Amino acid sequence: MTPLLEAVGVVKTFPGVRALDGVDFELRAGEVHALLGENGAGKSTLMRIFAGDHAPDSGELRFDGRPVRLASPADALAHGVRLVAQERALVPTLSVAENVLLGRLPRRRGRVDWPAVRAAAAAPLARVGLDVDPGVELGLLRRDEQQLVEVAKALSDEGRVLILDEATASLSTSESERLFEVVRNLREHGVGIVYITHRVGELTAVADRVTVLRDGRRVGTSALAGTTRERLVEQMVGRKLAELYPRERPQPGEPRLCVEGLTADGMCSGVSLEVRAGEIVALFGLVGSGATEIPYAIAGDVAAHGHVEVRGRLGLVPADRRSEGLFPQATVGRNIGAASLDRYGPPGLYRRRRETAAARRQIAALDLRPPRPWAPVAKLSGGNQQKAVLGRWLERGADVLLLSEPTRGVDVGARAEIYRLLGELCAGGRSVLLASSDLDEVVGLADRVHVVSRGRVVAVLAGEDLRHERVLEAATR
Amino acid sequence: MGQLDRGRRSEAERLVRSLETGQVSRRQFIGRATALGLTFPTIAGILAACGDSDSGGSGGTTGGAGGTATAEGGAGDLQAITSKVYPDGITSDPEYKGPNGGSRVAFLPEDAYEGTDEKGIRKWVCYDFTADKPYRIAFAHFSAKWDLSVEMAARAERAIRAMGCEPLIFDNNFDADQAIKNVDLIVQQQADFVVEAQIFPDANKAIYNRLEAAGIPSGYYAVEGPEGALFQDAGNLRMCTALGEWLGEYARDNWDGQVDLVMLAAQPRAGTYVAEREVGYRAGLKKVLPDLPDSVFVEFDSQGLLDESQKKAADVLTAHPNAKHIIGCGSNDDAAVGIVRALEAAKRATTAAVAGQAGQASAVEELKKGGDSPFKVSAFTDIETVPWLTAIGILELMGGEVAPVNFLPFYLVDADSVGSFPPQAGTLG
Amino acid sequence: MTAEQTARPPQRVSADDGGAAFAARLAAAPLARLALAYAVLVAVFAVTADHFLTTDNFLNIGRATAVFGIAALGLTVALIAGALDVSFGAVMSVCGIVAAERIAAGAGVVTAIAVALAVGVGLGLVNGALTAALRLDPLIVTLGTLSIFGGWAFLHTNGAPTPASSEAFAKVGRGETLGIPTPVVIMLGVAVVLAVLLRWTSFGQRCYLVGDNARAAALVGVRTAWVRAAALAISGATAALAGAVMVANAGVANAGEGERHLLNAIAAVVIGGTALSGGAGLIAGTVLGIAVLGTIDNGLNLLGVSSTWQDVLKGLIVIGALVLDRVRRRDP
Repeated sequence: MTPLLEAVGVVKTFPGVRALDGVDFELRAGEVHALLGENGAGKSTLMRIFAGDHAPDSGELRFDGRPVRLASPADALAHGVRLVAQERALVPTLSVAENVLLGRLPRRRGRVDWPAVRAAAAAPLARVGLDVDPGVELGLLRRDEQQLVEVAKALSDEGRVLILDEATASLSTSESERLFEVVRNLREHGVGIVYITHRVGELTAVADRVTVLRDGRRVGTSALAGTTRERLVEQMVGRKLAELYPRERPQPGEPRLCVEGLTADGMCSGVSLEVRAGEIVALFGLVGSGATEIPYAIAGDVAAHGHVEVRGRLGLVPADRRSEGLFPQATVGRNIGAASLDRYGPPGLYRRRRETAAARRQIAALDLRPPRPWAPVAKLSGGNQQKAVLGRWLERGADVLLLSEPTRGVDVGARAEIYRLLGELCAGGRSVLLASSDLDEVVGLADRVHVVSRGRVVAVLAGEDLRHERVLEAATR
Repeated sequence: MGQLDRGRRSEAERLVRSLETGQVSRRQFIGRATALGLTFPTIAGILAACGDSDSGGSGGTTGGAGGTATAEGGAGDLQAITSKVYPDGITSDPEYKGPNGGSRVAFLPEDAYEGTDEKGIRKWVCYDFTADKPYRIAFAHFSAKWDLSVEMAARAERAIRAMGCEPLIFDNNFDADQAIKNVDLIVQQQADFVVEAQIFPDANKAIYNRLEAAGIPSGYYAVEGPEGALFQDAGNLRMCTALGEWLGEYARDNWDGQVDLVMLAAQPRAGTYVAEREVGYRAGLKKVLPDLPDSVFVEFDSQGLLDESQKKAADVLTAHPNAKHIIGCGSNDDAAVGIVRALEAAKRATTAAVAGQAGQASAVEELKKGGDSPFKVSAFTDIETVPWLTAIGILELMGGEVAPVNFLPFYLVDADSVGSFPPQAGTLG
Repeated sequence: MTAEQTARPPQRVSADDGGAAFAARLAAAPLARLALAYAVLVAVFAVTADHFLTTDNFLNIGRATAVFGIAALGLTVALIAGALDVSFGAVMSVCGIVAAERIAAGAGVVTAIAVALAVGVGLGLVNGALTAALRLDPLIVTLGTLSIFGGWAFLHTNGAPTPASSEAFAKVGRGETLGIPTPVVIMLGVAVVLAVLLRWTSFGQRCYLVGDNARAAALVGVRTAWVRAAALAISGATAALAGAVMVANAGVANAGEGERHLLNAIAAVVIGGTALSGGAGLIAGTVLGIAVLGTIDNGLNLLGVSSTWQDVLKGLIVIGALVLDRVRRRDP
């Protein structure tokens, strides 16, 4: 049966980067084909090409077996391609119906035909199962409802290919469920759906086949039934899972961090845990569970009560580097030295030389690239930026490191390095407590996982029990 | 009243009744009767019949008549009053071609006062009369933020009461919008005449139009109103001509008439009357030193501010390194002292002479230094004369003839006489 | 590990050219560009305006810029710490009046200036306290205190001038030290002190942190509210000094005098390359900015260009500097 949509040997290069290196892809009608890959693997680029935003440098696009050239998004629209991108393309102040028919409002005698607008919007809204008054202002809807409006918009005319790009990035579990319902429904109706994600766990709910991209190349395509989660992650990441995370785990020593009954209004309640020297303990929770906020509460950044005891110094690596972690206009050296300024000179005074020397030491120890203390930190890659923040606390002499979403926005290569670093730091006697919503990360890295749901620790898993399914199951309680 | 149709006739009858009972004043009656279409003889006849002594004023006022002098005693003789207000009569000055039209001007003589009252305030003859009825005279002064303005308002109030009228004082707050808002209040309080003292010429137009629509005549102090409106000021042209002559004489007596550079620190953005200062300086200098070439005159925008003037003057001095005998003319004292600072910094002050105007504190300080300062003379206007415009307004209400442009006396104050004069002006001048 | 696994993934290209050269370029680039622009400005006027290129003329430029220049220097520190203090104009007026009153009451010059400085520091701390307590942007807070402090000056003096006639005091504003106008010496002295403060003290370095990312600064343990308050106190102190010099030159203090210097001082700081959002900037940049503004005024005066055109030109330059600032910061 002829595929609905095909890419054959597509190559696309941007200045300095080869985003797609001869990629093949095919989508059949009535299937959900997941496109899996890390950030920067090329997924979005490929979809943009299908949506007419970019033209491939070489290779071929085919619709229903016939080669086509898409000169613009309008061409792609004409071929029935509908893209629901990561960035919302809706107008919150307009009504739901207007958003669904954005740019295509039916007119009569040159003026907008409002009754026709409502009528035309009704069908797509029904298809996505959204039961709201089309006249209501969009901004008043919930997040997931707005997402569905976006899908309805994509379906409001004869779309044959629906591309969902990281559609669940900001949705909760139940909201995502709703979306999956809609997707399954559309599949029944013969629409071809490309489902882009980097979350392996979602696929069982919705996908028929999955293609993995890595570094702009197609690593493999398989039916979902014929592959395993581990295999998929290995394909995404490019190395054996076992090798991604440090295997050598030291014997745990004295307790370094004791938390009892930590409660912060609206964030967490009654959290208790202990981290010993040499241990990596993780807090796992889905988006909105409160897990990623707990390190802040422990560090005293938010008002909380409970008992926190630390043997040694605390260092907090925040979740959002740009708004909380880095000093964007400063150098790498300054970012590393920021917590230790008092040490770089006689009391009250400051010698840049000392800070730079100290920064050099950290840069070497962490293998930070480029290895220049005066490089502007804003130009570093995400991974190196994260190393700089880590280095800041190492420079400060932190014995307990609290990290929130430590590898968010960090590419695969750097991710492995950070894991290795954390392992080394623990081997040196430090303790690590990290909060993450990345399941693979916590399962692969941590000695022990405290699963968090709705601000409470609902399970503590270690050893044999520390498996993906058990963690996920606990998190969805 | 046969001229009027039915409707208007009853209206007119009502109006006359109001006049009889004192609900409307003569002035208001005249205005409304004219609007109704009555002819002048008719109006005059009615007024004569009703008598011109409506004691108690308009019914709408609240205790306004309390404390004011009655309509008797000296009120009736308009001629006598006019000669008090204009002791020298109204002159036509053919040399004066003011931008506000006409050459009918009046000058209040310097010695037009008779002693001081118990508070030690000079008694100017122009207020020494009583109006025929207690008119409501509004005085909207510059701003309560300016101490001198507050003083002016206080003196105006005193003068108005002395003339047997009721003062209404308003604060324009250095704000054009506020001044215009005040007009609404003025109209509401049924003022008979308004003196406006505020710094925005454009606002004056709006004020004038509103007042005219309400039938209230107005007069403008220091900053011109629209063409034809009553106006009073220090007489920039005359004053600065006198200053220019003074400087010319100084140059003649000390430098053999040799002048290498004349700096004029002007305020081009302050309006046409203020611009007359530079005209006066030039004219005065040329009168004494007719051979003074135009090329020695350099005019710049000082914005009336000391440091701005100093900056510009310093640069002018740089551009004329060989000028030895230098004259400085300030649009106000601060601008003049700015020139002084520039001269001192350039170490060229010993062969320089600078004049200012307004009586600001900076000038007083400089004059006190005597020979050590190049600042030689300034023109002060006596604040006591400010209420003269109120007297002119009352005179007009009483039916007298007034000059549209009225100039106040000024004094040329130098190092010797500065002791007898306190600072006259604050930040504005 | 296989070859496939060691291959580096395609990354955003980071500028990986010769180390020290790149760093030097980054740090000094805007400053060097500004110095170059100033040199060109001087060259242009030297050629077109007579008597421009003389010592006396440059001393005049110094005299004309010293008052707002002193204020601009303190403003730079505050802005680096993320606090755009627009109340400094009113502080200048208030402290000028305070100094004049002390002098009129018979106090010595040093006392008068010390009292004025104390008041300036106090007002700056008020700004700091309000910013911390109200949790508002310092710009908003100082817009409010601009009116409050300025209003006090009018109320206190009733709009009347305060003479400050004292030979010694006059020397502060009009005298010369080592052949250079005293206000200029004061301005340069303040520049040196503040430059050292920013570069060589940990407080100065913390100002940069707080201005760059206050949240991150708090997370590394910096007491951001205190740092900001101290920076605002510095801005208040220089405003007080500027006000005292202004009054010493005039011989009279008036309410509302200082506010007129707002635009010039802010323009100097912006032209000098200090980011309006904080976190970056150099005293040297502000000094150049002051020089640029003063030289343009002076050159145009010598050429006889009208005031209005001078204002237009200065406005365009400030806009140009702001645009450059946006462009530069959008790079990373």
